[in-house]
Amino acid sequence: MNPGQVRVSGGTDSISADFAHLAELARSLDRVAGVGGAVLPAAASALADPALISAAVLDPIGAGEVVATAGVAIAVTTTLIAECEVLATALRAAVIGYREADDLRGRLAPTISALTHLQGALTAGTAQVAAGLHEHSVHKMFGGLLTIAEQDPALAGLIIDGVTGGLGLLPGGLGVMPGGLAGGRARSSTVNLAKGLGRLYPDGSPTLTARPGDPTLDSAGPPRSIADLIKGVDLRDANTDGGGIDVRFVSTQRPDGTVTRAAIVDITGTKDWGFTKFDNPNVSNLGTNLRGVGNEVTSYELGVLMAMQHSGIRPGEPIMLAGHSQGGVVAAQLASHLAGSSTFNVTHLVTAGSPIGLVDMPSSVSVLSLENAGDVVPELDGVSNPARPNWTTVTVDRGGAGFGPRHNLGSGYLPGAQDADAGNDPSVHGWVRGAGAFLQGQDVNTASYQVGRHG
Amino acid sequence: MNVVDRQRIEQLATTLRRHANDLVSAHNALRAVAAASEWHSPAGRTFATSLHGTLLLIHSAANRAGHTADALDRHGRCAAQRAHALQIAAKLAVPIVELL
Repeated sequence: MNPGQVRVSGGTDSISADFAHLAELARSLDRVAGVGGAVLPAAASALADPALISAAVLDPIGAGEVVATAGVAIAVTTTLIAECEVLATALRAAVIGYREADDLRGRLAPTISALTHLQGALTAGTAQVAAGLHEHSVHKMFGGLLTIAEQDPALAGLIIDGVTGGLGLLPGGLGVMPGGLAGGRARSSTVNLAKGLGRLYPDGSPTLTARPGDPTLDSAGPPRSIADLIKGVDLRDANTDGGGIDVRFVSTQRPDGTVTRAAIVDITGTKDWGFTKFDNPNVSNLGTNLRGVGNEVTSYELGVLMAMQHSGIRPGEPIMLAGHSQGGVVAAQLASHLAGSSTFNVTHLVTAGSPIGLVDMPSSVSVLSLENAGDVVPELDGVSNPARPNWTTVTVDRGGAGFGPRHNLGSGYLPGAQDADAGNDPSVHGWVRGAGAFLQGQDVNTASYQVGRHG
Repeated sequence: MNVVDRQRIEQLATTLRRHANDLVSAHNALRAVAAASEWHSPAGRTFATSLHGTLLLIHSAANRAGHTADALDRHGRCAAQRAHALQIAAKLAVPIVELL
């Protein structure tokens, strides 16, 4: 990829949408066959009915006409049922085949991508790792590994997958992986390892503090584009030491005078990477990352839920969750856990640089995932995001050299989002059209919160 | 031929006509799904074209079921008229025989 380019998978205009259409067609053909199946006994019972037989004595020509037309109707309907059943079966087989091929491509993509860049990555980092080993310098060794990961982010995902899979093979799975290898190696091992390591960091319980409003947030007006959504997260991110949340209410006046509201919840990312800070009052810490990737409910997630309740989001109002890095993981988990909720209607999710490929996302949530080529963080789940009609992944190429600038919102994801807006990919445009309640408003009012942890 | 038989034949025709209408509804639903599908591959577009034949077949089956219902209606009406004529002829035959 080159700077400014975008690559898109999934979404409303993707091949995965074709699968959904094919499956729907198969169901329609089933219904036709079912209706046709009701015609056959009706026509057959008419021919054998005593009333028709006795009437045939009085009107033999008319009876003959009935027998002839019913015979043709039965023949045509029998052909129709057979054709519908064959077509429906063929369509189902095609969908299964396409999906398996697509899944295989998705599983192989990280490996192929890693191998493509492997030589350059090894050239760049191996000497540094070797020097670190020679000098017993952990810092230098880690630096070398980071250089390799920067050059070849997909390799980081493969290493995570390999390490977690290898640990899962150990007897007892280090005592932290109850699921072992069941249900797919990468999925279960990554999730279980993250979950197990996350338990080293007590999660406590959430606290919520309402913060004074920031007029600069609303002065620019409601968001109009993907870049505006990312800018909203970036503004909150710049003004928090961790756990900063904004609930932005976008109001739209309809032609009949009624006003509708939609809520955008901005969730900020990791602020404290302290590996050995186990008891940490900051929810934006490593423990939340591990628990989030481990599909666990975190204090950060509960704190966001408390902020949503406090802000006054009404039942049924559409909600978009937006998050960067860890914020995206928390947002994705919340979207998954709120599926079917009668209180909070999460319809959209935007993530930037977040490893959320293993989250069990409901089909009712329309997801846009931004990933930056060269950013290691979205690779940490070891899988590609599923390419589904409701899940569009946009890979951008911004931020220059190094992991930091590429993971950063301002230097990496904000220009990347502008590239996505400027591109002409139909799936991206389909997502933006579907997010009209959030992007076509006339007014915006923001409530700000701080999520913390105690206990 | 009595009135009950005529009603029975009408009932059979009504049932078949309802099934014919159901087929028309299923035809319209399938056509709508096929039209809403956006085909991104040449194979997909070829398949969409081939669905046209199936849609014609559904239409034909619905028509045939409808024709059978019409034929049943005509037959029931004709048989009832003839039964009625025979009853009148039978009633007239009694006094004629008595006169003779």
